[in-house]
Amino acid sequence: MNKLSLLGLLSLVIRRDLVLAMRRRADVLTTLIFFVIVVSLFPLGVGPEMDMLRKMAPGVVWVAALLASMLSLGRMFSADYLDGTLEQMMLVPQSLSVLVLAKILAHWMVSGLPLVIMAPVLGLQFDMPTQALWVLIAALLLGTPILSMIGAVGAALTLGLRGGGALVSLLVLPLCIPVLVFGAGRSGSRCKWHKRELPLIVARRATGDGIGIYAMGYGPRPAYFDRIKHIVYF
Amino acid sequence: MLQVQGANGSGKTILLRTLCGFMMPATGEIRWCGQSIHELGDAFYAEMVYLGHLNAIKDELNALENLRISAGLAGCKVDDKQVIAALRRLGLRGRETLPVKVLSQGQRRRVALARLLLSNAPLWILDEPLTALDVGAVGLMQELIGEHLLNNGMVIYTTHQPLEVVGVATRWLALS
Amino acid sequence: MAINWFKYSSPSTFYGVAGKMVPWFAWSAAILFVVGLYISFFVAPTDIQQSEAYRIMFIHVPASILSMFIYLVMAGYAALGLIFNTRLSSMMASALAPTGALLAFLSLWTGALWGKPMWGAWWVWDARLTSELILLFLYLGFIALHASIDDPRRADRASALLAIIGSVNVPIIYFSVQWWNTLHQGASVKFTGTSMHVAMQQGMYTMMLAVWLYAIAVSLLRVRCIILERECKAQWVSELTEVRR
Repeated sequence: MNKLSLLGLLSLVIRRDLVLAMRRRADVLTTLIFFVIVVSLFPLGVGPEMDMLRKMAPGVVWVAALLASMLSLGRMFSADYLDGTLEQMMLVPQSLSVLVLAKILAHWMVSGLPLVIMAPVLGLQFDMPTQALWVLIAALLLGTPILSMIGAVGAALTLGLRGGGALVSLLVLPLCIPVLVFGAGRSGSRCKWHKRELPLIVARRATGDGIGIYAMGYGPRPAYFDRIKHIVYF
Repeated sequence: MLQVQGANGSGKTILLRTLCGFMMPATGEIRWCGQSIHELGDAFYAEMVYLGHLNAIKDELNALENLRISAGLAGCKVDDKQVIAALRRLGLRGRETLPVKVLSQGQRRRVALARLLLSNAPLWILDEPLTALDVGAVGLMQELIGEHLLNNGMVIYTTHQPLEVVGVATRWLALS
Repeated sequence: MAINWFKYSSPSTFYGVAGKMVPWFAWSAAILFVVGLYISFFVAPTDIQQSEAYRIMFIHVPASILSMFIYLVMAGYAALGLIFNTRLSSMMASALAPTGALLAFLSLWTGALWGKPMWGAWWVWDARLTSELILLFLYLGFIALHASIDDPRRADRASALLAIIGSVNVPIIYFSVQWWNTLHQGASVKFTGTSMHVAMQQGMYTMMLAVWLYAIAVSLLRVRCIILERECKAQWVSELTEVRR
C-alpha cells in the first residue's frame, strides 16, 4: 500500500482548490470587489475630512476585511459538501487535520491574500502615510490566515444549515475580535510595533491555529458525517 | 458479494454509511478483519472504496483531472495512462479532457465508477451504483464486479435492479 | 457508600430527581431574594460617593458574575456530552444557555442604568462592558446554532464544539479588549470594593446566592422540558402521570 506523504496530500489539495478557484474566478473577484466597496463607502458616510479619515483608515480596512472574509467562508466547504467530495475526503486514509489545514490555506490564498494585496491601494485613498501602510500590510498578512482559521470552524459547524451565511457571522465574528483589536490597533495612529505586541500576536496566532486545527481534525469526523447525512436524507 | 435490498426509506443507505464509519451505530460495533473500524481508522480506510449517491466529481475539472485527484487522495499512485485506460474501459473514449459539466448524468456516473478501477482496495461499498446507467453500462458493471470478486474482492451494494454475476452466489440482505 | 452516579445520568432517572429538587431550589431562591432585597434597600447604608444609585449593584454584580460562571459550566457540560456521549450533559448545556444569556443581558442593562448617573453615559467602551457584550453574543451564537440544527444529537455536538472554542476564547477576548482599551483611553472605571460596609457585603452575598439558586431551579425546570421533548417516544414518558393526564 503506497500512502501519500502528508506534504504530498497538502499540496494536492491546495493545488486542486487553486485550480478550481481559477476556473471560477468570479467568486474570488466578488469578495474583492465587496471589500473595495465597503471601504469606499466609509468616507461617504462619515464625511471627507482627511484628518479623520487618516485616523480611522486602519480600522475601516480591518472591519471591511473581516466582513469580506465572512462572505467567502460559506464557500470553503459547501461546494465539496454538495457534490460528495467532502465525504470522499473523510475516507482518505490520512490525517484529516492535514486535509483541513490544506483547505484553510487554499481558502486563504484565494480570499485572504487578494485582500492583503488590495489593502495598500485603499489605504492611499485614506491618505495613510507610507510607514503606516507597511504596518497595515504586515498586520493583515498575520491576521487574515487567523480569520480563515477561525472561520473554518464556523463554516464547518454551519455546513448545510438553513441560513448558514448569517449564522456563521454570528458565530465567528465575536471570536475574531482579538484579531481585530490587535490588527487594527497595530496599524493605528502610532504606526509602529511595540516590543510586547509581537509575542502576543504570535501567541494568539498559535492558539488560534491550534484550536482551529484540533477542532477541525477531531470534531468534524462525527460532526461532518452527520451533517452530510442530513442533506442526503432529508 | 452482498446485495442489500429494501423499499425506499428502509435504511439501506444508512447501513452502508454506518459501515463506512460515517455514523456510529447505536449499539454494537463494526469490525474489519476482527478489529473495530474505529480503532483501525486509516488502516481500514486504505482498504475500502465507497461510492455514494453523490458522484464526488467536480464540474469544473475534466474527467482526467477528477480521477487523478481522487486517486491521489485515496493514496494510489496512478499515471495518466492508467486513468485513460480506466475511462476507456467505461466507454468514455474521447471525453477524457472535456469538463465534466458538459457530460450527461450517466457519463458522470461512469466517471465516478472509474474510481473503482484505479483502486486496489479489496472492499467496495457501492450505494446504488446503477443509477442513471444504460443497459450496456449495467452489463459492464456486472463484468467489473465479477473481475473484482475473482481477485478475492468483496462488494457490498444496494440496488433496485438485481445484478447477476456469473458463477458467484449473491448473498441477500433484505431490510424492511 | 458509593453512589452510582451513572444512574443519575440517565434522563429518565434524572427527570424524577430534578422534579423533586426544583421546589427546594425555587423556594430558597425566592426567600433569599426577599431577604437580599430587604438588606439591599433598607439595611445597607447610603454610599457617600454614589448615594442611592449604587444599590443597583446588588443585582448587577451577581448577574455579571453568574453570567460568566454559567458559560464555563455550560461549556463543561457540553464537553462532557461531547467526550462521553452522554445525552443528559448536552441537555444540561442547552438548558443553561438561555439563563446565562438572560443574566448577561441583565448585567448589561443594569450596568447601563448604573452608568448613566455615575459616569454620565449609558455605555462606555470599557473592557468589562465590551467583554460582557461579547459574552452575550457567544450565548446567542450557541442558542442560534443549536436551534438551527434539526437533529438534536448533531445540534448537541456542533454547539458543544462552539461552546468549548468560546470558553477558550473568553480570556483571550477579555485581555485583548482590556489592552485595546488601555491603549486608547486609559482605564475609566475602577470598581470600588475597597472597604465595603458589612451590610453591603451581606446584601451582595445573599443576592448572589439567590441568583445562583434561581439559575439552578430554572435550568432544572428547563432540562425537564427538554428531556420530555426529546424522549417523547420513550416508554417511561408515556407512563408519567402528568403525561397521561
